[in-house]
Amino acid sequence: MRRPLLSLGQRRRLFCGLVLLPETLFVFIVILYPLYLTLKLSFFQVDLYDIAKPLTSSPTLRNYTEMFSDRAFWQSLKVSVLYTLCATSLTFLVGFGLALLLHQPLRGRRIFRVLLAMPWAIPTAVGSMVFMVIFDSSFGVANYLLVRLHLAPGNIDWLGSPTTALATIVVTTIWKNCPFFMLMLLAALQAIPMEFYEAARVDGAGRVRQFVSITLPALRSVITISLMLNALWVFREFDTIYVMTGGGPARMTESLAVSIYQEAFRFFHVGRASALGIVTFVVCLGIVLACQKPLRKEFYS
Amino acid sequence: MKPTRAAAPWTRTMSLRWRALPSYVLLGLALMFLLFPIYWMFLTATLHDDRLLSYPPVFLPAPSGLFLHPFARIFVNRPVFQWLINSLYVSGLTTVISLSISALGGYSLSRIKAPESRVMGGMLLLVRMLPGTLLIAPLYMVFHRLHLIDNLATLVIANTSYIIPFGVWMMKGFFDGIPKEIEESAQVDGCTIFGAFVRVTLPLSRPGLVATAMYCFVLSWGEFLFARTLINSAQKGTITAGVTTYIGDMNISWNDMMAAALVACLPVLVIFFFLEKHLVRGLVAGSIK
Repeated sequence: MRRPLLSLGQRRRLFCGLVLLPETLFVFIVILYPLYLTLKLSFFQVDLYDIAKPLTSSPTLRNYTEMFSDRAFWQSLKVSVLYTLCATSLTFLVGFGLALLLHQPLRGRRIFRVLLAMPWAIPTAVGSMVFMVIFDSSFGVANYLLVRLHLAPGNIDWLGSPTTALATIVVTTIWKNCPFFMLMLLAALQAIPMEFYEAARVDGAGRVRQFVSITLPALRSVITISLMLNALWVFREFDTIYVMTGGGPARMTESLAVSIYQEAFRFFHVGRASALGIVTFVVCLGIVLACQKPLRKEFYS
Repeated sequence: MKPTRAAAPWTRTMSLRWRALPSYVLLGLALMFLLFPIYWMFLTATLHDDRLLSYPPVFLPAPSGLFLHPFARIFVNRPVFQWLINSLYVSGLTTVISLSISALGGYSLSRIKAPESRVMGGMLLLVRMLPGTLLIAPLYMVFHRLHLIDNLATLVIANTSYIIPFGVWMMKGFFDGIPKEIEESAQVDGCTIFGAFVRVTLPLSRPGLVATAMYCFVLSWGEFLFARTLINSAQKGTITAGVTTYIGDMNISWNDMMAAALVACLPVLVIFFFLEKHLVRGLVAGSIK
């Protein structure tokens, strides 16, 4: 038998390298190149309709200085942070509660899980439309129920009033995202060996003690990762806000993600949109770096 | 919601049925919150034109039967059928491409433990946190230069770009669960490396492929930003972007709007209903091990 040119191990490594190529190419062409383009354009004054022309001016920091002195930018940043904090923490609590409920020996658990997870599959934009109908100021069912149950004095203009618009968007986001937490945490709960609880019971630990000493530590890394992934999604969430309010009223719901879109496609300031994008990116990077330790443990171990 | 009771192990000392009652009540409340919008969408879609703005709202369908006109009307008033075809085309193609790339990339990341693979893995993580809105302006420019605006193929490329970072991690998680000794013994037995991958590893990772395919399809079906921005003509829209054009249109009544919304989510809901089991494993494989 003729000896092959490469040893089996070498061929294996070659194969692994080759199959990584399509993905690498894709990441470079469709993601890293546009990212580089964003960074470059953030130093230029470019109009969306001039993008085919070569850049003639020299790079400046004008987009950044203008952005930092613009109150609208700080407003967007505030909206984004507020939205991310509220939506992520509340969604987490709802999702965790659901996971704990479903972790019990209940009849019909499987069908409950499928039904409760359904919002995950519904397109965000479509779900947001339904919430618009529910929270309509004059004919919405939410107002009807609240007034009937004497929880509200009269009809509330949910999406039109600066005080309630973001809250309505947060409710929609909780609805859409809590299945994610539920499924992740449920899977993690089911991976905890029963013996731990039995041993704890033998030692006389009550339910609260079991939860604090066994369940929470076992779920710690899953909680961190799902919180991080969700915070990243919410921070760049576009569909819900754009569909429900478009950033209004009076910019009270205009997050950074919506600002980027408006700058680029309504005002055609690609340069400014790019500068906003870079800031958004840096914030997301911050979120990821804050979760570095558990991440490294989970992904690279 | 008292987490403590749920965390308790399966106890048989007390009567199970009575102990579970509060849990069922809470589950019922949760179901009401999570399914009410879907129910309301259905109810509004089948509401008779005369009762559209009736007050108090109708909570149970009219006894005279369901009003199905909106479902017929939406196909006439707007190119809803064309949107569905477009969505099917975009999501189907995105799924095939993303799945292939994810399976190959995930295999590679799972099997090589070299530093380069870690760099690639880290890069994918980085990519996962890029906001879609950040990429949209430069992507628009790139596609504009290539004269690919208003072309469905553009959507396939854009969707793939934001789906593969997670798809690769999902597939990697599944391949990690397949011992590499199995394929190595096939290679020693005379299989080529590629042959072993196709004939041994891939069939073993079928649940992973199903989960990833479903994930790709659902995400691509629901994608809104790219579909809204990179497509201009009404005929080429996807269903998700298409139905949002009803918003703010004074000529459109609520029942038509909700009928279109229902049509837009029905395909993914059906898929989800049958493949949910796989999705759970996929999410877990992609994010935790």
